[in-house]
Amino acid sequence: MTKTDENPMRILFILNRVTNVPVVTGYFVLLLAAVIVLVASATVVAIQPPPVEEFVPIGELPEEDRLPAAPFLVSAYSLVWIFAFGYFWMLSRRLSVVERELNDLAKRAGLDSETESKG
Amino acid sequence: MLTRTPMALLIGAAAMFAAAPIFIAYAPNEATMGLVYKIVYFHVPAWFMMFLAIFVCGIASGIYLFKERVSADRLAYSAAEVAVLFGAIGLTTGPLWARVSWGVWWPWDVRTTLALILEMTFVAYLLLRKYGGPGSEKLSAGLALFGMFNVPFVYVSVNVWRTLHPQTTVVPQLPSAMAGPLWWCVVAYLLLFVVMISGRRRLEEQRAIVERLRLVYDED
Repeated sequence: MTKTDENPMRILFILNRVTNVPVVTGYFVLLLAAVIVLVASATVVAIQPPPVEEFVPIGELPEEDRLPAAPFLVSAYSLVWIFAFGYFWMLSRRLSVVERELNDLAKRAGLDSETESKG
Repeated sequence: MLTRTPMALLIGAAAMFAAAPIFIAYAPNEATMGLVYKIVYFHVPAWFMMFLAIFVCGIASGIYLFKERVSADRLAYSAAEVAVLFGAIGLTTGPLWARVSWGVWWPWDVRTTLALILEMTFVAYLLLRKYGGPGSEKLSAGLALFGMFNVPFVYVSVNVWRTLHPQTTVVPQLPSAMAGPLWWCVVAYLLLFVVMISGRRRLEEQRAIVERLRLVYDED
């Protein structure tokens, strides 16, 4: 794991020093993600309604079987915004971490060259 | 952060997305599916962009494998992440449509299953890049080529196998009142795609500079 990847995890290491709570590793996060995906999949399968035997246009369905479409449409639109915002937030966070690290290295290089020239 | 051009494109994409509901509201409802059909405006462009990202990733991976250009590998990595993102949008908006029009969230037919496998292929690519260690670039490039060659199968699956999913002929045959908002959304997604790829590529370039500088320090 590179130094840039470790930076967001630093808080966990500090927490570990204070409370002795074990540090969450990348593998643990991966395992947790896998468990969440499995549980979510099992839930989706459990709430799945029985399949319809033949095609029936929505207009011909009885009123009690019809789902209001508007909330689904609004949800789809919201999901696009959420995914896009989420991705840009994640990207800008990662970019700022790398740029900070780049600045640190540049400063270090400046300091090194200063000491070399003084020496 | 993002430079001036990607930021302008991002603002353009956000403005187009904000205006999209107005055009979508004026588009007519589909005869058998009613209002829910309008999810097509968010669902179909997401898959277009996923396919585009996969082609970018696959071609760049090929260039990396055969010409050993590191810049192509960085582009491939960026495109793979963007492909997974657009695939996730497609895989979440699809079930919303399916639940209303087909009565189930997920039908496990050929199209949906192949699309899920394609998404998982590129999730595997990202995992391989993150945890694969040295040499994972070449392995993941091979995986990207495999994923790219799967795209035509996913695309034509609705025409070849029996499935609930609408066929590929639907989009080209849309009347202009329906096609207009769809292409509006495609352009908005395309702007997003360009901004995401350029931002992600910039991140890879910055990381490469950091790694190089670190190596220089370690040698000293």
